[in-house]
Amino acid sequence: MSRYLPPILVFVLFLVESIWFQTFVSPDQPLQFIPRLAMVLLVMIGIFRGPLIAAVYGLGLGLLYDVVFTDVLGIYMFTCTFIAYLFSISLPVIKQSMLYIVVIAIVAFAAFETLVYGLYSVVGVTTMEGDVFFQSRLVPSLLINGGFALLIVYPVRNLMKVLLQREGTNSV
Amino acid sequence: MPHFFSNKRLIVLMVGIIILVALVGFSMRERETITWPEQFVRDTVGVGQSILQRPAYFVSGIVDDVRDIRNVYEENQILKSRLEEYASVASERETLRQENETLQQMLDAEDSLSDYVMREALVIHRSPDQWNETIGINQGSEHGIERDMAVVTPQGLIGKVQHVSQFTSTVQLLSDDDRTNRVSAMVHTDDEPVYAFLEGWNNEHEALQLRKIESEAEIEEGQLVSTSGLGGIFPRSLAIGEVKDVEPDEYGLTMNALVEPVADFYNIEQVRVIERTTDSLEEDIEEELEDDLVEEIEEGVDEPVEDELPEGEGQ
Repeated sequence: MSRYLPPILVFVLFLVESIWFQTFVSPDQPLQFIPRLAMVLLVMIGIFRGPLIAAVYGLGLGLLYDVVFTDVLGIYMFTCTFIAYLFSISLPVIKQSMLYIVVIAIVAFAAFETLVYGLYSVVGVTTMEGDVFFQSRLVPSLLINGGFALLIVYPVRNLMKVLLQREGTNSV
Repeated sequence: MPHFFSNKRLIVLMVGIIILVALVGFSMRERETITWPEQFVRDTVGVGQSILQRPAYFVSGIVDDVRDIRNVYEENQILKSRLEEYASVASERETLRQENETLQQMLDAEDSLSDYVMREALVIHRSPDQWNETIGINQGSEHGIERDMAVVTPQGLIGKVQHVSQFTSTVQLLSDDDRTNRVSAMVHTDDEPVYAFLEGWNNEHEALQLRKIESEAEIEEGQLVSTSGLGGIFPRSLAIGEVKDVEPDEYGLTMNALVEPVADFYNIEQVRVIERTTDSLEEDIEEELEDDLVEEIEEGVDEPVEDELPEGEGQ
């Protein structure tokens, strides 16, 4: 049962994201704080579980984003899988250091957001200018997702260690 | 990233990109309905979202209440002054309603473009990336929701139903940046209403864009804008907003206006989905055309019959 805990947590964060906007965002805010909580957690899980499992979770998460929120299929599915795979660097050095984990999660978030923006610009869903995107969207979102990463890195690392020990495969 | 740069991985990446392009191509074309796997996923996720949404509304409701209490005195003053006007407005409204009824009876006009049925719905999610301005509601085709129905809050129009699945549906807000997001609207001027199209959101000025207004129309700041009912989908006179600014368009043939929406597009909890009860115009025209055609054939007149409908909202 505990094997399924990580994907369930990712799904719960996905649900939290979907009500985030309804609950926290006020209309007269020039900056956009985009929560990508599920993605941040996914990259952390990927660091402990290895790239293949991360890619599978990423595919599922992207599918949810695509189907539930957007009219254009494929963008999130591709981006989530790609980023989850790319940033699941499961080296022992990184698993030990919480700082590395947070930095990787933040970089992964930035790459994720930029890639989605790029793809949406190509497809024509958004017409936002590059510098506007960077200033009023990427930087503020980096702050809240970075903060979230700092908040969860300790419990997630402990959880993953416990899970790995229980499965008896200490090194993936 | 050491595991990334090998031939096998690159092939998988290429295949991924090809699938991406194929899926985007598949879903970008104008889709009337969504496929059943999509409906299934939406409904399943909708259950989880509904469960989580209620406590969230409860908490944000408490925060709002606290904020409200601080403004109670000022609001009370304003409301008192409004209340004095209310009696006269109410009596005037009653007179007008009766007059309208009598006139309609005289005309034998049974249905008006403003007739509609209303359904309440709860907002269960909103896209966290602010690129897709859509919200999800907890009513679907099982509850009688159909594509393109108007969605309003007590303040005014906020959007239309974009996709329907069994138990949930997606609403495209007026602020969505999409080519096909248009509404036939009218501006209330002193005499005749002026008809135009509401075409999406202007990011620079933070307002809705009203386009294709006749150049000789006398549009001023502060005039009210509502739906016209001429698009064949929405009922007439749902409030949209107020004119903020008017300018000639790039060719000087028509005018563009910016409209400040009356409805708040954020923090929406309850919405109403509106079904127009009047048959859409197109069906009437089609029937008429068919009747004409039959008559003409019977009479043996060989005048050319106009078989193309006048282009509607889409152009």
